[in-house]
Amino acid sequence: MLRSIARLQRPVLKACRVSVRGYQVARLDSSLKTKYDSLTDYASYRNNIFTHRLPESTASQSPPLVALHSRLNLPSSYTLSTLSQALNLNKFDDGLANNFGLNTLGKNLLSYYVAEHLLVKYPRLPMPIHNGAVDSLMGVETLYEIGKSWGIDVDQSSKLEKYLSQESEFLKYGKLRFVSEESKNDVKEPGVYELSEDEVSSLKRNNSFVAKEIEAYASAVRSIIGGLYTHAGEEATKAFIEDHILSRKLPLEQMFQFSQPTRELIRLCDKLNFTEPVEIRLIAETGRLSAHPIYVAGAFCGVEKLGEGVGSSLSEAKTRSVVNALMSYYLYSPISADGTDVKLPSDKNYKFEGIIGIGDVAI
Amino acid sequence: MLRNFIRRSSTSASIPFEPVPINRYNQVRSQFNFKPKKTQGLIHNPASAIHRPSIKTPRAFLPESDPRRKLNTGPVFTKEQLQDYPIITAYKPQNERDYSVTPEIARKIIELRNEDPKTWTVTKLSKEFGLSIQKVNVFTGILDEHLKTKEVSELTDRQKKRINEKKKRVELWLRNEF
Repeated sequence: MLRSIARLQRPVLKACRVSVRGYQVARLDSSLKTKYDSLTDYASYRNNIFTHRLPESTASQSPPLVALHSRLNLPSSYTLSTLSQALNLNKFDDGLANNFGLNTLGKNLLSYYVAEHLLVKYPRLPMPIHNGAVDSLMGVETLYEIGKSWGIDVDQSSKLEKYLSQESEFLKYGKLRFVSEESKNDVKEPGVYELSEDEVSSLKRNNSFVAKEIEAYASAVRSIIGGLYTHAGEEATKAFIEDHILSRKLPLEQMFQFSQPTRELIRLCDKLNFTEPVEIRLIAETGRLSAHPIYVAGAFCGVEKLGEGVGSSLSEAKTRSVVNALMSYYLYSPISADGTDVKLPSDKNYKFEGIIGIGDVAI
Repeated sequence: MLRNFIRRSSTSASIPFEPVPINRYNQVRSQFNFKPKKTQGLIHNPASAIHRPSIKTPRAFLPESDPRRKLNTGPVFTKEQLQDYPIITAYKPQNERDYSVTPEIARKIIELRNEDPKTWTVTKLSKEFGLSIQKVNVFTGILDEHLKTKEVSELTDRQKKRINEKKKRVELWLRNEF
């Protein structure tokens, strides 16, 4: 019976869409066969798809699963069956519970802590840079890299191959399961990747391609975080996210690219209500008739120096000084009165000390 | 002594050992051997390079609540010091900017320019209406024309290469990269 469901055509977004919806709409997944007494009585919602959780005794016999558990230094309250569930993306294959819910939970937790970290630590980041920073901390590609570095393997061998190589059936519970049993039997050509229907439609929608494997790894990482929350609570999850996600180096300085920096700086000074004129002054030069002259320019507002830049021409020095000034505004990071980092809203004894950004500068 | 001995015995006899080049200048006893005289106590010795924007925020950009505002209260530069630094470009503050050009004046400038561009040059128009050349340029669209006349196909390969290289360099400026 499960087999017949798997063969059904899934509701795939067709390529010829009339309107593009920019917001998320909750929709019932028909394959879960949800039943309810009345539409608004959410407590009565029941999924009738047959799933079961992996017994703990089975999960503990899977070497990669136990290894992953201890490698990530997860608490003993984190059961191996949940960890195995976090690695399962298949909805139909063997009737085991998949990571859909854990993924959603982990995603929400991640986006909260990442947003909190960025908004408190860099309150003045422009919107595109902020989005880029969020993406580089918890984007699909990053989570894929993290998942790889955690040593998660993909279960790619079919039942027949497992049988022929006398592989223990417990081995797969510690591996990332997203390849359906049918596509495992497909003949693969090395170096050639055939796009699935979902991937083709995503390519048409937003012109970006995320391979199924990358998405699966990201989902597993999110689900492991979600599982940690369910077993060990918020404190442990926060510490885990700080250790694995927020501790990564974020090259914010390399993410800026200005188009009209001088105009932007003047608009910024207007926005900050500076009453003095903005002046770009020449601070030093090696001599215009020297073989390779170097100029040092400074962006001033009254007597306050906003930025400084060197260049081999006056216009280069000028532009660099203005860009330097703008970046030193945008990359401001607040400190508390005793010189330490500002506390986050999720910390104990939180007191608001930083600032709230005044918004982007319109050019 | 011992080390020298080992060194000497280990090197081949054919190559003479000479740790310091033999010359008339004595490294140890020469009067030219100046040693830096250190200042006693704590000193502020800032890096000779331009500070990285993520590390230091200029005081003007520090918000009122920031504790770093109280550290150095005096201005870094005085007005007299700034006189030594010639202005490259200056921009008026918000309340002193000139917004006196009306749509009528702009329309008139465009009309005159379209009628007879040879007599109504940009300089002449700017004198007639008392506006800066840059503003007249914007109204007449002369900058756009100038850009349009230089078609890419007309340029030689060398010119194209130079333009492209310049573009790449300017992008580096805008990214604060070297």
